Amino acid sequence: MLALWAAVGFAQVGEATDTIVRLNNVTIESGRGKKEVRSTAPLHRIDREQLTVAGITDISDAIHRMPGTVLRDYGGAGGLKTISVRGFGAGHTGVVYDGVMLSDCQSGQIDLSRYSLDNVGELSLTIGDNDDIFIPARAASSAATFAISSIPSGEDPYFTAQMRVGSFGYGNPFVRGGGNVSSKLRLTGNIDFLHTRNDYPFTLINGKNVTRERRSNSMMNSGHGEIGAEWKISDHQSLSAKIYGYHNGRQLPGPVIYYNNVSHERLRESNVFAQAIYRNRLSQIVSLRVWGKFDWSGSLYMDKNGKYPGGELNQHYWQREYYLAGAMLFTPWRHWSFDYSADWSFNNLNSNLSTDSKPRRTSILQSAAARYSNGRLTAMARALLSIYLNSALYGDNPKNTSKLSPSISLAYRLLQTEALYLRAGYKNIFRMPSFNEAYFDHYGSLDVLPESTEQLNLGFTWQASANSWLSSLVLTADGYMNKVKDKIVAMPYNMFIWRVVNLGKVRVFGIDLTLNSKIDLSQKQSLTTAINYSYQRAQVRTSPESGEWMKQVAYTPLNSGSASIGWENPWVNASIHGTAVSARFTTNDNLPATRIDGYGEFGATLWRTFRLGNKKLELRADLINMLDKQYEVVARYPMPGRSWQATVKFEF
Amino acid sequence: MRKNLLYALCCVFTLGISACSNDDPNPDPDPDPIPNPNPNPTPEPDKDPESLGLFVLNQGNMGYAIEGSLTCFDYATASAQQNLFQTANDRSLGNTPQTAVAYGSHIYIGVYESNTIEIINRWTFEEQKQISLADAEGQSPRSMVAKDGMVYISMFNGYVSRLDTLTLEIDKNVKVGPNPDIIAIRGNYLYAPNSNGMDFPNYGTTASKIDLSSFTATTFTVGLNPTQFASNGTDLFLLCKGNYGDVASKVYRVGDDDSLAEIAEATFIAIDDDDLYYINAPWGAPSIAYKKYDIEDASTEDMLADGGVESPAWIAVDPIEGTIVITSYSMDNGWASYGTDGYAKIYDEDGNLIKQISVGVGPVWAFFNTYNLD
Repeated sequence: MLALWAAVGFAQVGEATDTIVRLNNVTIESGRGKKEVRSTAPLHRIDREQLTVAGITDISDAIHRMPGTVLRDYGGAGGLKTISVRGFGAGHTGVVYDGVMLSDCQSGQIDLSRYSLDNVGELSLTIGDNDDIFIPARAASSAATFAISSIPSGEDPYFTAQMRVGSFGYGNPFVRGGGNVSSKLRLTGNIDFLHTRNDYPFTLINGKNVTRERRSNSMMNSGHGEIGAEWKISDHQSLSAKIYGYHNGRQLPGPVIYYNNVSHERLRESNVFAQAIYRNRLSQIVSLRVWGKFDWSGSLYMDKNGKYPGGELNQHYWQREYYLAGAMLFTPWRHWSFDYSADWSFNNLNSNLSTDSKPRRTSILQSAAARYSNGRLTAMARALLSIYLNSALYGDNPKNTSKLSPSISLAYRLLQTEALYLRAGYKNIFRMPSFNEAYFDHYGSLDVLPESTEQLNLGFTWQASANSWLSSLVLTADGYMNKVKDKIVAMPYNMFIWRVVNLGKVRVFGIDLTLNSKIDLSQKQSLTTAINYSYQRAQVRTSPESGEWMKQVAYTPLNSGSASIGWENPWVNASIHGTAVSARFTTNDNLPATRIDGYGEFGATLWRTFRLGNKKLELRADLINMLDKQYEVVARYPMPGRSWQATVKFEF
Repeated sequence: MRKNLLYALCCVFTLGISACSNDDPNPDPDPDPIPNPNPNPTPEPDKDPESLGLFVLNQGNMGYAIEGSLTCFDYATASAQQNLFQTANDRSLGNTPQTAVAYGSHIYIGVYESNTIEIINRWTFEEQKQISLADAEGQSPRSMVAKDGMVYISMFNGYVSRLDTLTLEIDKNVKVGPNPDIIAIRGNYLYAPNSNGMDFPNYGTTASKIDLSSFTATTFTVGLNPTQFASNGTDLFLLCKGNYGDVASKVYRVGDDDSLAEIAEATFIAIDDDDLYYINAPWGAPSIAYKKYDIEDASTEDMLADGGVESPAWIAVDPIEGTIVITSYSMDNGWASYGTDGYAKIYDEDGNLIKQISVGVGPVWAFFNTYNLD
């Protein structure tokens, strides 16, 4: 077995080119596996099988299983969910959907609540830049990248119908299918609807008054559909394209307010995009990829209250994105590969607000990267040149920005005979102010500068040799030090007038540990274990005179972790899993009154698959928060207590 | 008749008892309330008005999940006590209290986000009644003023509501302009500035004048963004905050015919019998001006003998003692901190600092423990 792993290691020498050419596929498909061990930067992946075996119920649950992350979750199926990594704000996490990065120029953050796991083939989190160099420049423009990849369509025709029901009026039918139109063209599609009342109970403790309440004004209806095409133009070139549509209408329960549970807030969101990826292996040494996308999204925030003019507030926002990117990969010599990527994108935002200045931004990103891999050492270096051109149809705009951002990372196999790697990396990157931060009247500032980050990572990874009972064991341990400067924070003049400024420095020291193993108990029984632990000491380092000096950044737990054990057997597969997060504070001052208690939450999953010829019936039952722990991720937004989900899936 | 009764309720406290005199640093979680001294008090209509201290109302911060609270300062002991409402009642005052008045035997507190009026015993702070405004005509209480047995409340949804202090019920509502802000009474008329603040940036330019006898409103035109009337019963001033840009925030004297005469640039105002007190701390200004305007001879002098505060949140003047209280946000990294406790500076009538006290988060209102003032 040692020899086998050594062979795999050496095989990379010969496969380097192949690996690189397949890189984009790697983020979409599960690839050869164990890439997290060889990666030059921390990479955490959850594939389709793990989603089931670890009993993961939704995308926020999945994020808890990835170390170094902090999830913001406003509760329930309709609550906004964003992901922050290693002490950086959520705006530093790029979110990639099927190979193309999503953008939200208005807020700079992606709400992950809209993405269900039904069609997900793999989730991955890359922190810093790893040795994937054949990517669009924009994919290298974030401190960390969270990628959602659809189930690969495979070769054969298929059809899946699934129904999931659950507590609090949850119903979620889902259908997907695909087939070949010709030997070269394949079409796929999926559609799902979701309804939930989301009116879960919670306990409100107000001194002597302890009352059992329910979330109200919390209903959500959403629908989502995709049509995709894969066209194998020839042996060396292919085109894949998809059209995506989404609509969501939800009530917003708002924070829990003492003595007042009346809320009439509503949010409607729509999103349509079309994207295409063209791949061409022009020759043995040159490969080309082109990405294109058009994205439109609209949102309408509504509130009813006599205090508004006409008793109603209606805020419409619309944004568009045009995106075109290309990447060229050169592999002129053995061990070496080079990439040049160039991205152009145009974003604009308009609204029905009378203060709207119709801001727009043109982004031109270019990246040059080199990769060296000899099977024992893999190293990459990248320089990213970012040019952001700002303008506004009405009114002033911020200065244009041009920056050069370097990154470097390497992984070295310490022992010839063991898959034991040392990895190290450095990345310098920034995020542009969102349009809200730059333009929003009496909030944004045209003078605000980008928020800069630096990250240093040092880690060890080890994959044990497989044997008769241990089919896999992977350990990773990473320590890091991150810095944020020119942090963008909003400062008040009074309750109505705020202004964002570049004030704030943060230094983060942290450790991420993971253990993933699969033990074969017998021919037909196995135990799959996944454990992760994170320590994040995110210190405010703005000014020693400030009360915030050296305090923990708001909403960042010092300790967090999760564990799951799945037992697969011929009868009923079972998984139990838990997540624990230590106390957090709502402000950087960490005052006792702003403390949110830590929590531990546990769940259990049972599932079984029945096969009838080429048909497959899967039944799954989830018990979520089985100890009925009352907790909050965001202060005053209670999370659901004990609840259940049942899923019936039929495939052929 | 009603007035006499209120006198009666108030006059029993002639011993100088102040709830603030309890300075136990570790108050009993269920403290013995100061007993109601006399449920059937003898009328003492000749008793002189008195002021025993002041209260600061802290609105907290919804975004940081910080609840509102009530702080008091006792003149006799020169000491402060925090969290009066929570301590006396073992429940939260609620989210974003923004206005309160001590009147008769009660303190009335308007809690904006909780949409409630909390009525507590003036001396023990024990709850007497919580009025939920969820189904009321007037909602989202913003400011209060009391007169002749009535508490008048401006409601941000466009009403002024009248609360009868005998029945503790809201008995009347009158529609005014959009988003009435801080109200005042001159003579038999109540003035409400229609800020139209929720239609930002289309700030309001009108005020409503309510005849307290008929409880009907008329409207007249004022400056841009009117947010506060202040009156000593005879004189009336109006603060118009402008647009936080090229139109400055100014204070106007409102004539008997409701005509406006500009006095000065100002962002906070307060009044007593003889003077208008104002602070000018416009957005981005390097320094803060504290002035006292003599209503009689229209002269202006410095309000304070020594320095002021860093980021003013409110100013109030004791109508009996002349004590000036200015509340402030604390500063952090050179900016006002909306997530940490603020402070209040208490000055004597000549502007000499008596004491600086710590208060809660967001000290946006102060009022006095005065009685027999009506």
